[in-house]
Amino acid sequence: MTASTIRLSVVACACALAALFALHDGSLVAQEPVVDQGAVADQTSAEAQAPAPPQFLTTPARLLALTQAASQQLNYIPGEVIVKFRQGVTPGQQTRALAALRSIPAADQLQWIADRTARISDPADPDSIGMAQNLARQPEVEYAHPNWLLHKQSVPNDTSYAARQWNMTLLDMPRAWDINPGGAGVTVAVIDTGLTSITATYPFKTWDGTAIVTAQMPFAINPDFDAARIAAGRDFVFWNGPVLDSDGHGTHVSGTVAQTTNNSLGYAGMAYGAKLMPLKVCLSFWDIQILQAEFGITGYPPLNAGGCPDSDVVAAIHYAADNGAKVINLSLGGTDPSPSFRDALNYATGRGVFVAMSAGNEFDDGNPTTYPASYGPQVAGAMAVGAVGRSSNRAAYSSTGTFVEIAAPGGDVADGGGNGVVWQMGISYVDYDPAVIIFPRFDRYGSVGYQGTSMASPHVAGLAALLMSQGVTKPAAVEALIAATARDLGAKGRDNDFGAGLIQPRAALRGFGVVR
Amino acid sequence: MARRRVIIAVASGLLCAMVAATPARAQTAASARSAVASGLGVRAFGVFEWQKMAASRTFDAVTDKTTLSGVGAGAEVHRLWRNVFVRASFSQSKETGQRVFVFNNEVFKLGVPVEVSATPIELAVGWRFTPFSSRGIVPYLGGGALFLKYSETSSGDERSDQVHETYKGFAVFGGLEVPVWRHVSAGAELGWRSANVPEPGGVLEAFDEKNLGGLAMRLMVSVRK
Repeated sequence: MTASTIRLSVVACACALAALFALHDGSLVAQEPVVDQGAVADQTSAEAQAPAPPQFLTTPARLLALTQAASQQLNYIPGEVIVKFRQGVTPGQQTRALAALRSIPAADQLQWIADRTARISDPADPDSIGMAQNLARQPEVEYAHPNWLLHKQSVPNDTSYAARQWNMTLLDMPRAWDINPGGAGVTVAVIDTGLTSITATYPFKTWDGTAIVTAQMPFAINPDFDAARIAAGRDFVFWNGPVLDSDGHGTHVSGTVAQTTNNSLGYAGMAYGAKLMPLKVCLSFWDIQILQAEFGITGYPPLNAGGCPDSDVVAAIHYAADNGAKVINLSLGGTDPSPSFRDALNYATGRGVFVAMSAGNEFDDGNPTTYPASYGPQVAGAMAVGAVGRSSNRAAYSSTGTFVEIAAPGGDVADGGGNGVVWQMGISYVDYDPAVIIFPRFDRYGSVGYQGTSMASPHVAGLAALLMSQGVTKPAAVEALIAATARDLGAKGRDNDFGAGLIQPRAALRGFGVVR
Repeated sequence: MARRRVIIAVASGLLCAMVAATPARAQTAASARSAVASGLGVRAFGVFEWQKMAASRTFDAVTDKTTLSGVGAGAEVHRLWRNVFVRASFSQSKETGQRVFVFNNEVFKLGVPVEVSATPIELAVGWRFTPFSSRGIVPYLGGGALFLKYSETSSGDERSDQVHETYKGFAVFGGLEVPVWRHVSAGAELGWRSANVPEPGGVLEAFDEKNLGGLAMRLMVSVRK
């Protein structure tokens, strides 16, 4: 059987599944959940001998809200808000303020995610914007906003091109590594879709087009990533088991930060001696698919299902800052302001953590202001990163504005075609492409190209790790050094396309002598 | 402002020395002859010097020192007209340190070794006063042009990374010399050098400093003919 025959078969299967999904889509909510009793029985007998399996962290109600958000193109989770109470507000006063909501939740029902900041879930009221407005009017409340859904800021590209890391050449990384070989001793938290931290096969339920079945889904640690450098991470959204990446975005971003280098395999990473702390805050299509099946909900979720809830990102930022990370990468964003994000950034930088954030890929979509990147200029030690292509021109998609502080390679197919994207060793996309695959696997790795400010940000996070390792230990100083040594691009001085310019890792690591 | 104070202090000290030297009758004829002979004279000298850097915060950040020490040499031609002399001299100071980043006056050391080298070349004119003691102690004052050859290199540097510049400025100095044996004299000298970097970068810029000169104290041994 030739490759083209296989491909045709896969496409045919995908079409058939798409048709099935189309048939079921309209009745998804109305149908009674169908539970795969056989699979449950198998699992029960296995549980008698094995330790308690990890628990899923997303409730059925929240899963439903997430799929609603995807199908209705909402940028928030229906029924969820984030509220911050004013200083000194007592639990009794909190309860009084919460009376403004339809479900009148008690104060002890709040899920606290930061100082005086909590997530409120009210499934009875999907209008998160109205909920937030009601809460914000209460005198006890400092601010309230919907639990925004952030999204990865990258576009996957064809994986069949040969690897060419023009990005590392553009940044003159070999000479930078002569000064600091890899940023040893620093932990970088990648708050994203995860980085698989275990090699194991899990029997997850999924939908095969006709029924919920249990499928063996293999996961593996990236072979181009030294397992010893994967620090204890945490999954905030899928389950309380090991961190698994079923999307590929987090793996790619992590690779740019710290992929193993000089190992005659795959690709290089900026800070290849640093430790990676994978913090999973984004639910991918497959996460949703698995959760949906585990809860007995039939059918496929929308291909765009998932996202990164504001509340979980905030919690992850706090977790990283409290557990030894010195650098955080946030290749996520949305277009809605979130004061809780600003507070979290201040918390992290206040604890000595530098934060790199993607500036956004929405230039061609009206170039809106993006968050949390827009808080970058307000927080010393947090930088909003725009993207350039291999010719050092602004990538066509890279958002611009006064909030853009620095630029790094993000790739641009318009500037070099397939060789113009950022390549790393990533999960083989053909193994889990939701458009064509029924039973995915996440244990095979290959060359994966992406473009986006999501790809630019980890270059800056990696550089920050190198600088931290080199002795610049304060986030604000890291930011100032990166900006001071950047190569000015575009209009002279700081500009809205590139900020201070393109990062120059070697110059930053060399620092300054007496006169230069 | 600090520089002006130093110049005034040096000048005042030397003025006092001049005043003290005026009563020539206190000297013996022999010592006076030995100190101020008639006709053109030439002398060569060697120098050991310390220079308290004007850019003290900068040098402290990079080298952990605010004073550079070095050795040098020079030559003078005396009595071009009365007690006027001209001098050409140079010295060389080297110091090692590490490259840094300064943020809000806090110094972050980056562990990249750097060697700084300063070679001040002075072309000066001076006045040698009448000896003011029976030991032939001769005070003098002078000043002139300064050419400061400055370099800054780190291991692994490419040529474009290195600094090799010459900065122009001025130097003033004053000192006392004592005859020690036949044509050999010993002396001590205090001077001020000013050599501004036109567009300071690096740590100079961070600390808003630009003068690579400073207050120089020199011990000299000279041989005259």
